[in-house]
Amino acid sequence: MKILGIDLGTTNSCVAIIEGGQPKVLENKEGARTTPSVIAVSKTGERLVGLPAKRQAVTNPHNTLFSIKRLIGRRFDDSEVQRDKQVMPYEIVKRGDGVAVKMEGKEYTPEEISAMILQKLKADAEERLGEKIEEAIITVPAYFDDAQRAATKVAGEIAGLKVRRIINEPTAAALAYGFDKKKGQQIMVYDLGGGTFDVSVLDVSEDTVEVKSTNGDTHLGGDDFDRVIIDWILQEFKKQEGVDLAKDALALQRIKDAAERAKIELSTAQQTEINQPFITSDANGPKHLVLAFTRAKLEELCGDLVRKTLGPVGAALKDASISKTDIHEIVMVGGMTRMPLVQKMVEEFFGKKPNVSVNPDEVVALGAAVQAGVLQGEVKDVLLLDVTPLSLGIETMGGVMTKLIERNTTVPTSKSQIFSTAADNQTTVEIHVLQGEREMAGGNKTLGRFILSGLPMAPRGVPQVEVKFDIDANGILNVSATDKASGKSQNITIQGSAGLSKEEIERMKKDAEAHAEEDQKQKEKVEHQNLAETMIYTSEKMLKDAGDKVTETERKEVEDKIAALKVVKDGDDHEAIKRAADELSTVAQKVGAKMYEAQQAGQPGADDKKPDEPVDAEFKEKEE
Amino acid sequence: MPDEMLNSQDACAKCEEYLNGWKRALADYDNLKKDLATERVTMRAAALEDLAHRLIPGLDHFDQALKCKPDDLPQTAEPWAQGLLHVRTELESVMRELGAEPFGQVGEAFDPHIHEAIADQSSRDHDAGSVVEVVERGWKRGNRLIRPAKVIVSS
Repeated sequence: MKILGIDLGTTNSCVAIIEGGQPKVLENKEGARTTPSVIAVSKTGERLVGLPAKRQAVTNPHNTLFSIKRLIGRRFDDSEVQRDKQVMPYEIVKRGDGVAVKMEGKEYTPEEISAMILQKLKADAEERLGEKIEEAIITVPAYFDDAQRAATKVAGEIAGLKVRRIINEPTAAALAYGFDKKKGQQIMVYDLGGGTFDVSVLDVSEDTVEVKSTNGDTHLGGDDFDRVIIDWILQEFKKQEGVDLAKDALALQRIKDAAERAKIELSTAQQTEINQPFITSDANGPKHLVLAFTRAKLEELCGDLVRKTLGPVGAALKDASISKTDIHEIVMVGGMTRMPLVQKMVEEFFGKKPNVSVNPDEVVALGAAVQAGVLQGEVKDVLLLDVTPLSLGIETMGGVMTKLIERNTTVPTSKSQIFSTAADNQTTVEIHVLQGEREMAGGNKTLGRFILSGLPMAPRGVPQVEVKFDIDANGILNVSATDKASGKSQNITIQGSAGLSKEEIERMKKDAEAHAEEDQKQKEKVEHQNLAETMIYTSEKMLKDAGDKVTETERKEVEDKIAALKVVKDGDDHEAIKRAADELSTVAQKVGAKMYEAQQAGQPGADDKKPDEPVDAEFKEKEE
Repeated sequence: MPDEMLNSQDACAKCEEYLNGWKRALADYDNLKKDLATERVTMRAAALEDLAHRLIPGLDHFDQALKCKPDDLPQTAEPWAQGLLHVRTELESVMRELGAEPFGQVGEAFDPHIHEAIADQSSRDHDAGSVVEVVERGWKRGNRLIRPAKVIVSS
């Protein structure tokens, strides 16, 4: 039975589960990874949850409930409730000591409203997973008191969920990063969401993650950032065109969307353009809003807001009686922390980079899912599978290592590939089994060699030898080579990773990195040489097959180019080899085309002998 | 109970455990293959939706331009304006090739599942709760909503 991890947010909520040992966010029915925490009863009497509720808010403000989290578990006399009573478009009333909200004339407790959100999250998750969900872990802000936590739990139960745990949002964020294993460390969680800013100091001890202090600003978030950007756009437009768009609801709507898009774009780009043509028109015709917007300008506009977050950060450190140098890790939560300026200021403050690798909109839900996984026992009974520490392969033409099994492949596994010969009438091939990351065979470790003999005589490239690598669960490698024509086969068994120690493996990996560039050059050189040899071989063969179908001049031309390629092919000048090979290819193709025409006119069915494509990998000829 | 019997019982239990583990692994792999196949289909659909989504603002601006078309356009400029309309048609046909269809009509009932209200307005010509003006058309791909229609609703 799966346990849901739920981040029940003030503006948006998010749901995750553990699947195959990894936390994963579940998309809602609309296909979004987060759901607005908004509830409404429409004028037609339909109850709406999430995006649809948000979309009709403008036309139905009294019956659209949002930011209910600010009210849950509160007493009517709380200053927070009194403040909300002033600013919220919906009605907040007293019920007992607590509060209720009104929607379509009916009273609901905040628990009931939160339950409606949870119900949708549960139903959508069930639809995604195709199974019933009965249990959940719900996160709450670290500063929530017992009443608020109890009320959240009640909301879960009204929604038909057994709430296994209520956990703190910052703790969940730390869990998503696996920081619960960092015993004795202090962690700062910086959560800048849509409408609230929370900061917490966590202390990780032997078996618990304890919240040492919390601070924040309940009315600072992404919305404030959007507002300063919108104000700037309005100002600039007024300067340029002398028109105030603030009173034009339609234009304002477009500016809002454009401001948000620009803000997001400037998280990755240095510059963007706000382009809203035909934003309005007056007696002089249409007017266009076209503004260049740079990251520097954005940072100038938002600098004060970001600086404002550092006050609560300092206060939280003081309350926890630690200094900023005592903080081992900083975890970023909330969409606004994607802004490079936020990351930069936090980094400057602490003198170390904050953690941003987990999606900040999802990190809390993911952490709740991790906790759910622990309760579910998902982590138990996992069979640990080994991986091959280094790549395995064989030596092919020109001393190149051709990898059959890449490093980090999970074992047991097997892989096979067909190879061919490098010379005419080659009757033996040597299989040189290698391990390592270098491009050239010489730089890698030899695990073993064997010879497959008795191949039937044939032109190069014709015989088919299947080489198969098989590693069993114990790391024992079996390499076999089979000639497809004769069925002759040989093999070798190599015991577990050939006894490489951890240090040796690391050394070999480092070695490969250090030599990557020269190895690549060497490999390219060999590839060019191989290509040259193939070109020479096929061109000579073509001339032989052509007999008197080519004129003396044509024959001479090809022969000259072959001779020219032979001169440069063993040198170090790749470019010269490539040039000579290209020139040979051009003349050979001309002859080939002519032969093809002659053959079509004369005897159909004969093979045209155009130069072959280079053979990908061939055995080098057996060295005596 | 003799030790040997206990050992063979233990061994049997182990065998059972391993066999079950093996079956589970094979089943997991089989399911993974199926999941990947479905995921490929959804990913392709998502990629097309994303592409369509990025083309929408350009089309919106075309619509906006049309609304702003001056009444006193000189006659020589008419063919030029016509040409621009053809460009718009071309863009719309790309949207249709991606499987996207526009929607949103004045007079239809406001439905928050496909409409986004950006304002309300009293109107004598329309029933309360119906669309008075389509500010930006909505787009769908099959049953999937790419973008809701942005509308003004009569109050």
